[in-house]
Amino acid sequence: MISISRKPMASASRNRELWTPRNRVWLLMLLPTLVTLFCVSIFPSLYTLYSSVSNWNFLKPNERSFAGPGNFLKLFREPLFLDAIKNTVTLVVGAVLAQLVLGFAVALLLERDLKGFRVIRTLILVPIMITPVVSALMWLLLYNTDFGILRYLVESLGVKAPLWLGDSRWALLSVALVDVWQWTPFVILLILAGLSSISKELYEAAKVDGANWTQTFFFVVLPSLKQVVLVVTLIRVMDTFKFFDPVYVLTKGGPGSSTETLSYFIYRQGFRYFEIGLASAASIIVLIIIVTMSRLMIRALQSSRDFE
Amino acid sequence: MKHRHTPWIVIVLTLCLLVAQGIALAQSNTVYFMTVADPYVGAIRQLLPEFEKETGIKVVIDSVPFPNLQEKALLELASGRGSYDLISVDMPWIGQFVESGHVLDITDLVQRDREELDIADILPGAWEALALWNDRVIGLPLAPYYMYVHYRTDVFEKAGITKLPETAAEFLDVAKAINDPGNEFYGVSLAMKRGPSSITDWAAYYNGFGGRIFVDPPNNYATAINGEIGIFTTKWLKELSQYAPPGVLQYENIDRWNAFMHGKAGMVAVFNANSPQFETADDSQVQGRVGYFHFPKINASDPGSMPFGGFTLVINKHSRNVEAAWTFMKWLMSKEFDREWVQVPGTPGVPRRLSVVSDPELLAKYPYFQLIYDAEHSGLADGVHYRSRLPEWVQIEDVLGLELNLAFTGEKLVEDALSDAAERINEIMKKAGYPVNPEY
Repeated sequence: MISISRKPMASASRNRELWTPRNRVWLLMLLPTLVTLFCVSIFPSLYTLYSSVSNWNFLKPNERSFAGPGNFLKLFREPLFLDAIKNTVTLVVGAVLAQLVLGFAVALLLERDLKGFRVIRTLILVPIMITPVVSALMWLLLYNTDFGILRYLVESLGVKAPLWLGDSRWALLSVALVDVWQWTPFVILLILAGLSSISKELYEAAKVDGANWTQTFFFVVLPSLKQVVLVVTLIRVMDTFKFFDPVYVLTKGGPGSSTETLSYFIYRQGFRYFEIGLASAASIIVLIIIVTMSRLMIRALQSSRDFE
Repeated sequence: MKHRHTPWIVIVLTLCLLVAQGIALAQSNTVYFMTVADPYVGAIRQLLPEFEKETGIKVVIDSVPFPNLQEKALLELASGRGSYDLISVDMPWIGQFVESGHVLDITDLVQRDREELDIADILPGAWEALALWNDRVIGLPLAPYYMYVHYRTDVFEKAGITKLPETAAEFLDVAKAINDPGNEFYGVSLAMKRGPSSITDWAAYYNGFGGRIFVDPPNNYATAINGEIGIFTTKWLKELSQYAPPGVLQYENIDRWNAFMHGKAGMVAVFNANSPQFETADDSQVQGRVGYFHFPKINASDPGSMPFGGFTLVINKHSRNVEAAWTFMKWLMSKEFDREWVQVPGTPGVPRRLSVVSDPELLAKYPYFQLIYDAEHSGLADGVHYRSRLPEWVQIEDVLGLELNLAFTGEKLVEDALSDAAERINEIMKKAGYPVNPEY
């Protein structure tokens, strides 16, 4: 009885404390942030959820009706949507893995304080600063079969250049390369920061124990950078899932459906056919995939911290 | 105490300003025009001061790149704000724009100013395809783009080709004869990348061969693309692509005419909006060496066709400035303007009037006007059946674009690709409520 009566009392007193004149000022000061958050994040998300269960074409605004799970079922019967999931997952795994491997390699190289490396460290950040559409347009010129430099370089080696964007065996790799080129510097940057935070004593201890470079890398560097790698992977996975600009500029999802990604699929539904219901349902599916993957990675991140 | 009323004064003043701004906007003599960033915009800009001086109406032109125009314009119209009074709409989007209920029906305005417009002088095909929708006038034909084959006169001469190809077989033979990959010169240039570009080409040749998108509209909207002509066109284009530049599978519209303009191909089918550029562009390598002929037919005795697309000019239903916008539209359609804008150097407009395409002085300058005149005069100019104008066209174009691309890359047999495309197109049409009977 006592515990039951205490709980509401405690809660009531907490509420009273919360609404003291002093706290009221703080809460009012928080209000603009909360309103902004509601307007730009919570409301659009709820509206997308509502749209995803509606039959709604933007061109026929008066013919809106409740669809239930219809849009979701339709998506899973749509071969192009299934291709888009497959391509996006392939792209995410391939591109992020390549960025991590390259990022590690270049960061380890740049960590040495050799002459000129400071300038290179700055220059290497240039791709991140370029707008994705612009970088995609640059690559469109590079991949051009008439005057693109890539064809010239490959054929000067005596090999026939493939149709980078016109052959389904090469197209996904070609668009992934744009992402790798643009975002590897970001990985390098974070890994360099992580490397600089490793205590020198750890290297010295490894040296005293007779560890060679490989052993030092796998038993000192990698475990120390576990959290950095997880954070970088998490950011890149979430970002690559939204991969749109290079596909839009370079391939329009082709040849065939070989570069159709989830974002491009959603764009076509939403902004070419104005099928807002279907586009919202696809967006909700992408959200679920990203949230699930992020939760798994965050859990891995937390367990690595707990372990330490 | 002194500042107690300050917030109220600020609020009242702001409200007054907003109201004044609203009234000013509603009564302003400024017309806001959203258009595709095509060469004709340059011609309008050059001649615009004349109109502004004459009428006192100011025109603000916002030119948008083609890939962004559709979504920007539709979202703007749907917002109901009336920020733009006039919008240029690509022919295949007409149904989408009109059926969404945001385009002003200008039948009464046209009726009122019929004499001034002199509709009998407007190219009849362009009027039918760009101005009419369900027997109502929804816009004026701002820029009809007629499509025909451009060829290199010097290359044909060197190869000893004296008779221009008339049939599909002859066209293929000519492409083969002038193809010279060793010197990086190819018989023909095509656009085969997935997306609207490949449809622009495929549908034009298909139309030239007598193909139609639907079997028998308005009685039967089953698609006819998987019929004999569709299969023939696709196989023929695949064969033709052997004599095209190696990167043709990743060519869009711009790449295909760039290849021709830069001296890499002997033939290309493009819209007449591009014809002047081959003669005037700084980087053109084909100046003075371009000839023109109609699309090939399957048999020489077939009637043939001149497919065309282009832009119509519509008034936003939410415009607060309809009269001023209409005055500007009439000026754009006037005979004097039409005659002048086709002659603007560098960025000329395209002809919309019979009197302009048949003018001897202009014909001497632009020989391809004769092709347009002939096609319009004999009723062979076809904008309505080239690509559909129905609201569902955007989806049809995507489905067809994907399947054709699979056929061109060899990932699917031509018959299978077209049959899969037809199945999906028929589904789209059925869902939209059209009568569909594939067993015709």
